[in-house]
Amino acid sequence: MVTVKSHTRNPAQTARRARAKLRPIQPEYITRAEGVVLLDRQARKYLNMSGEEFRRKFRSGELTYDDHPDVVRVAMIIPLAEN
Amino acid sequence: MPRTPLQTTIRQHLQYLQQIFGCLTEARIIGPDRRALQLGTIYSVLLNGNDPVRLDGHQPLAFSGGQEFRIVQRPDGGNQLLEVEVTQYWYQFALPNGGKLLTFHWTPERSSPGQRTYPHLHVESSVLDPAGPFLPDTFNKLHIPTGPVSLAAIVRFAIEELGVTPIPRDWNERLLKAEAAFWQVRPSIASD
Repeated sequence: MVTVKSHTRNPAQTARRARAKLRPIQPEYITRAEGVVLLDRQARKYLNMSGEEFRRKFRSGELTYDDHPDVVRVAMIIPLAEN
Repeated sequence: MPRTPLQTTIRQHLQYLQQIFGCLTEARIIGPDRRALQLGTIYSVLLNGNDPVRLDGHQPLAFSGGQEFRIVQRPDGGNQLLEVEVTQYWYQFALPNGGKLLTFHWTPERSSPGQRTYPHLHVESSVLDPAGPFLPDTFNKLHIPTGPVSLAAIVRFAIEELGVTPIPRDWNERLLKAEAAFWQVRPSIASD
């Protein structure tokens, strides 16, 4: 038997619940060009390099998950920029 | 224009993920353009563009998460069934200031040297004692085996253990349904 901790709600939380009920959130579908822009933005933000530089280094194995904790965060964007 | 079976499969998968993430956050997930999809190609789906989202609850938290997947075709009787095959997942809890807490990660197909292909957990530096007696500088780099973890289990962990406030009233039903589906396709793992 799992006991769930009680959660105290504030007005913002109540509003979120109401919005979720009224209009379920829908996924957003982005184009490859938008994926390239996202990759570039996040590579610069988290790893201080361009998206193209990140993609080249990651694909060649020069940069791996063990090199920096945010490599995986940025690498997961690559498929949206390539496919 | 009617959707192709591939488009329908990806749409259903993303809507399912959005429903599960939606137990914690109003942030949207993003996925691939549905007009140029191909069987066997790896695509990713990311919560909030892979930026952390803030979770409300007993203690403020940040959460990031995403998956990579491909759609494969499997014989099913006389028909061909399209299935989602997850090729990577990554879920991370952190402090709102960015200090990382826990990371659940699985890359079953990576083949670069040193890459762990089993599902694992990183206990991150924000929850470790820097003066602790055992590997204080490198414990966060250990890949602690977990077995495959469903997104629903991660979300349940956030709500039931970390005290995150769920958004929809039916969060438990959503998670139960998702967890049942997860184990239905992994009976060999469930019986280990």
